[in-house]
Amino acid sequence: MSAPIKYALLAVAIVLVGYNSVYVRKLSDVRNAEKALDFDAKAYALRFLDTTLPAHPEKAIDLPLLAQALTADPARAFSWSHAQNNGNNRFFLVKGSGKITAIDSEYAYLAVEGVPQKVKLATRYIIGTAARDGSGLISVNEFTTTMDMNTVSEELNKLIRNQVLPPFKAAAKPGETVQFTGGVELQRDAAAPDLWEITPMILVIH
Amino acid sequence: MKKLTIALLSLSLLLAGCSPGGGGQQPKKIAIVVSTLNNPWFVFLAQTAAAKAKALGYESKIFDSQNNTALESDHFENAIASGYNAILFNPTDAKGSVINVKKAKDAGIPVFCMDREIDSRDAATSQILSDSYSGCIDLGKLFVKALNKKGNYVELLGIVSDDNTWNRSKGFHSVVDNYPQLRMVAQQSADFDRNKAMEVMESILQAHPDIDGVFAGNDAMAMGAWQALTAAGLAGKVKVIGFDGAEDAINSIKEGKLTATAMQFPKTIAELAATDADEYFKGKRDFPHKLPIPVDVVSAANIDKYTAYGKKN
Repeated sequence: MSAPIKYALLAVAIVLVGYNSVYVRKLSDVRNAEKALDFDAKAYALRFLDTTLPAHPEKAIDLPLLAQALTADPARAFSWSHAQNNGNNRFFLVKGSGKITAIDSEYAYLAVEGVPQKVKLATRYIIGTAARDGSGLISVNEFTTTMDMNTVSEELNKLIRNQVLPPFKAAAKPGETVQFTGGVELQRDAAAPDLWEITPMILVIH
Repeated sequence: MKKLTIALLSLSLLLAGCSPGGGGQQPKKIAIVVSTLNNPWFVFLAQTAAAKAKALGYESKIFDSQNNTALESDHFENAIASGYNAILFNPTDAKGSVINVKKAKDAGIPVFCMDREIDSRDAATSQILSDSYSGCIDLGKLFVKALNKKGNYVELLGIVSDDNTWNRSKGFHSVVDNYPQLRMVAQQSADFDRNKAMEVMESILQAHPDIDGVFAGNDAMAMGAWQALTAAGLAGKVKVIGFDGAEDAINSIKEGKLTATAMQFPKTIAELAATDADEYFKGKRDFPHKLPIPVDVVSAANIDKYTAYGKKN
């Protein structure tokens, strides 16, 4: 084989290897592809609040029943609780109906028949994981990372602040009756609460 | 040819009988790979895992990754080549460590993560993790109360590639960010390291001498921050909060220095991981992918109930 042909073949081989070794993609395309694979906590939280939770009313315990059980049979009461770990802090999803007795900058206070203690709905600070964990419908084993699950909690709390509370705060007045579903956090080793603080998730004013 | 085949088969059976996983007399071997032994908390974790493995009848060896993913990778290759039967693993990097766990899985070696998470649901046989997020929600509530809902504060982050760093930070901010009069004037990583935290804090204090609180992602950094604050004459004025339940932090709370920490339970985590390995050897396969372990807030109000790395008996 003559030298020019050899060099030509070598050049073709180098070009082919080079062409197949280097890929040029837009950085924005790569970032968008990575984003598409990212877990969408906001969409998950929205689906949970708007679809999953309303489809499972049986997951919510009647607040008067829970209040009574906590005094009479705490072990039974805590068997209705949930948490992502087996620690002292436990979460319940509760439901009920009560008359609004007062409203301040942080809470709406309710009188709930069958519940001797005061009941308040949080209307300003939506903190913690009661909304995520109360129903037991969200499990750590669904998620690739615990960060994803924790971001769901933050997104749920945001949705409650931005979607559930504004219409309620605009319409709620003392004397009106509100039907509620929400999360409650209790400590297993503490006495039955003398005040119920509920993170509201579904609110309907009658 | 037939004689040669029989001889080879006999030799294979003999070798299988002698191997640790072959049901012979030698005990199975467990590798304990930890992110660093430069932090007493991880030393306790590793030594507890080794003690439990021994109590269950297994040989074990501790490997120190020195917070270096490449070194961690070498440890995994050594563990696989040396015939270890299980790995109890405290990762250096949530994403970067997944490949090591997959290698072990492909080699038929179960991996049980301790304390730190890898970003995979199914590479590890199970992951036993402190519930850092929930713990930091409680710490955030305590911080808000301690600062009376207002003031300037600094956050010291751990290793930025570790999920615990962000779970702690996010849990804390999910509470504190609701209070607009609490202003974070600086947020910097000190890699969970006491000396780095001291240097970072010294540097932050140059620009922000008027701070009221420090939230550190672990106790080592909280102690480093405390040293810097002491040197600047600010100890006692500034509320410092850590996370771990390490010995020096517990002592510091007793002495009225640190305001609070979150007690992780490394004994529970390490012993559960070793027990899981034992149950795996005995045939169990249905482990939870992730098992969060609760953490407790420890402050002057309940310090009497706690000792280093756990609760008093």
